[in-house]
Amino acid sequence: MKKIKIAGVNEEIITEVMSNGLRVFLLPNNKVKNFYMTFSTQFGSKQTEFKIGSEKKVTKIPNGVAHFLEHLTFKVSEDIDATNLFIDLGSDVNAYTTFNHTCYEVFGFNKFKENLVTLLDFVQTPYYKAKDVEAEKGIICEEVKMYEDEVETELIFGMFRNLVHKDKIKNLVSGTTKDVNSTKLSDIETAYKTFYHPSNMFVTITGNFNPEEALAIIEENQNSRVFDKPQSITIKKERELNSVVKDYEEIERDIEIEKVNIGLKIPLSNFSQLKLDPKELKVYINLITNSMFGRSSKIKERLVSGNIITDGLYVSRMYLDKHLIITIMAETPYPKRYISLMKEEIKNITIDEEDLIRKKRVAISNLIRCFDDIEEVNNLIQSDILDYDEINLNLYDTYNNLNVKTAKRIATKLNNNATSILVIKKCDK
Amino acid sequence: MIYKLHKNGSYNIHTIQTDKFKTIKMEIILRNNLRKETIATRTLLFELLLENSKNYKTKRDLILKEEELYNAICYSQSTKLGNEILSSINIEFLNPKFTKENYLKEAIKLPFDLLFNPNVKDNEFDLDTINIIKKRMKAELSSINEDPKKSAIRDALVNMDESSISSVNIIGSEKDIDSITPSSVYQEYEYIINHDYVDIFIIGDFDENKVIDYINKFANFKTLKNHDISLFIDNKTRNKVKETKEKKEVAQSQIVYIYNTVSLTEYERKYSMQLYNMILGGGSLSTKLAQNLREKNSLCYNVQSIYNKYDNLLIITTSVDKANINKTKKLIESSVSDMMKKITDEELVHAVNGCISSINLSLDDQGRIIDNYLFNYMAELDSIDERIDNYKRITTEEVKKLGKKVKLNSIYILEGDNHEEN
Repeated sequence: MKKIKIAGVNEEIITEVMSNGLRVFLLPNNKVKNFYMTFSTQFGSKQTEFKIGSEKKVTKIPNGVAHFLEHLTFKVSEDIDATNLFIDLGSDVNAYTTFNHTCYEVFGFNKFKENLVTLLDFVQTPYYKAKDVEAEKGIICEEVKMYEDEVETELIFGMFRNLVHKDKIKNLVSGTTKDVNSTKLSDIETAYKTFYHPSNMFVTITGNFNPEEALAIIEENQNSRVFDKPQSITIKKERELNSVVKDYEEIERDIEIEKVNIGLKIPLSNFSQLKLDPKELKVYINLITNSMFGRSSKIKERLVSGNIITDGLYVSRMYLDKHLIITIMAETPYPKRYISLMKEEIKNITIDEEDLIRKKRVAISNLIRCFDDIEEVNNLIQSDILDYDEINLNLYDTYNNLNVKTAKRIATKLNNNATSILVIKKCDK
Repeated sequence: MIYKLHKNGSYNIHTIQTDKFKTIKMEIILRNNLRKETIATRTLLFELLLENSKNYKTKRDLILKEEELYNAICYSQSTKLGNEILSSINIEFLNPKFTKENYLKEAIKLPFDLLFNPNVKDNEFDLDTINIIKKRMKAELSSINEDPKKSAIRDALVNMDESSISSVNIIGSEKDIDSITPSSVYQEYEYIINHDYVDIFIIGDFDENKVIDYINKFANFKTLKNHDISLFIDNKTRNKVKETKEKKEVAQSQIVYIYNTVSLTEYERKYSMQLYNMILGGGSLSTKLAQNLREKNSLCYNVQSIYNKYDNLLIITTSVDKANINKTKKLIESSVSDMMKKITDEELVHAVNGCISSINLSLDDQGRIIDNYLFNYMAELDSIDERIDNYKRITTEEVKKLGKKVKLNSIYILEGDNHEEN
């Protein structure tokens, strides 16, 4: 057991690695009533081509298997669904799949031990049958169609398709209905065997519980199970070009307000001269892009008061192997004008001292608040593990040490990169 | 957690002391009977108050102030609750121990400053700002139109009874929005400040005397109110079920069933009907609807029943492939009639557990704790302990009996064009 202090916020995370390789992260908060436990595997929609151990050949599974597997894991036996086990315990279970992980989550307020054991047990007891795979296809296809009916899905994934040549962010996390229908029991079994080994998984618990007891429960539970030796997993990497696939596209949909997504594709090598820790670089990039396009930005004010956009700008950032992707989404009655104004703006990304100081204060305040919310702080821990393979202990100090000179240098590297623009237009009826 | 009510004539202050959070949240809640003619104006007003003011000339000035206050977040909300409309101006800010002097006072002042010093000249609100909000409200209308699920529920309620308050959308129609003028907004503002019931809630770890002093200093409400306000809507029932079908170019078809809940006692409304809803389709995969539609027949991803107790309505909604509409309808109807015939002890325990777990979850969220006390004050929720005890006491017979009080009113179907990508 190791205790690690999170600087500046007066919090401590307890961590331990079980003998089978399972990692555990605990952050108790006994002022709240509930606990929130997550059991995660580093297997998401992007991990579809991989080599196991010393194997020469690359195994390929259809898109969407991680999500499909997430659905099936809830089946505990012929007539028991894990959902019911948790309702019996008075708690709430759910799961979700992202590009890089699958997460099973439980909210509860009593019977801590039973909840934790049930969570570990249902995820680690595979019960996959061909007839369940077939039955689940109908449900998942309806889920896929629900996403396809959402304009945001088109705006986001349409943009990814135009930005990246090979990276798997271009595929829907769930796969298409075609992917779902082509999924076989053997794909599910291969995926489970490869990615659900404890050494590829981690448990994170936040909220009201006793950490000593939690470790004892997990240890006892894991020791009662036999796992194969862990094997290394090598995810097939493909070279992603710095260029975009399409720099402009218009798609027609049955909508009322037109929507634009502007994407920037920035090689991470742009920043290598600066010799910054990746965590620090990320903080700078968040602050700069929030200051340029966020709720208090000058451009947002100008666009809203000029009636060019109806609400705000939605900025998000994503880190691929060798690229940073920034996307900015908005709804606009004047797409052409909006695009030309934004093109000027993304050529001149910068930040001044006053903005940096204010944004630093916002970031520090958000960090303190995050620890109040057992779900949010659990997510923070999970994303640290997925992104850096360790907890980021010094976020508070990183914020305090940001300086405007470095910020300005980073900002200049964000200018003049490959861009892509996607417009969702009203269809002519 | 220590709760105190301080009655102050024209408004109440409710303080909730707890060291559970590193933040403090304050809600200034204004509530009254919903008036159909002015509802869109009221919704616009509460957006407008947060857009700019006499002291914050632009939205950006206001956001810069919030960021300076360690990202204090100030926002307004309008919620329709049965026959009533609740509007609030809220602020969430850091516990002053993490900040600088005078912070508590400045943070408490901000929402009152926005409410009492609006951007008004000669009894008119600023036209340019109104136009920005009008565009935003129209965009919201469009986004509902673009969302098949939301638009189906909206249209289903209109299909049920156009004249009912239950089918009122607080944004109004495009025409309602267009007819709003700078002076009509001001009239609505004056009306609200003088006629709405006002409750100010503050939750967190704070010096109670200081907080009350500050609120009394800034809360410039002057009138006493004693008119009746009532939450409940008695929606008309139908002898013959009304069924309507419309078409849209979307992948999934939407099905919405609306039932009246007729002559429920207060106890049934608060407890047994909540359990009825949980067992039928209130959330988890173990409900009758989820079992029959999703688990046994793979017809859908989502199916849900929603109990709107103040509207006396129970709504069932799901999205399916066009080819499965008839099969789905049969299964929805048989699931509802099953509620009268067979409810197992296990189903009841699951529903009770679900209700208790949701009560417990609410205790870790500032907004939901405020809601608990607000509804307790409005006599619509019992205390946490009473609620948990009462849920545990209900029998399957009591829930089954309710089946007779649940009457189908109307069915609304939005038919998609099931384009398969195979």
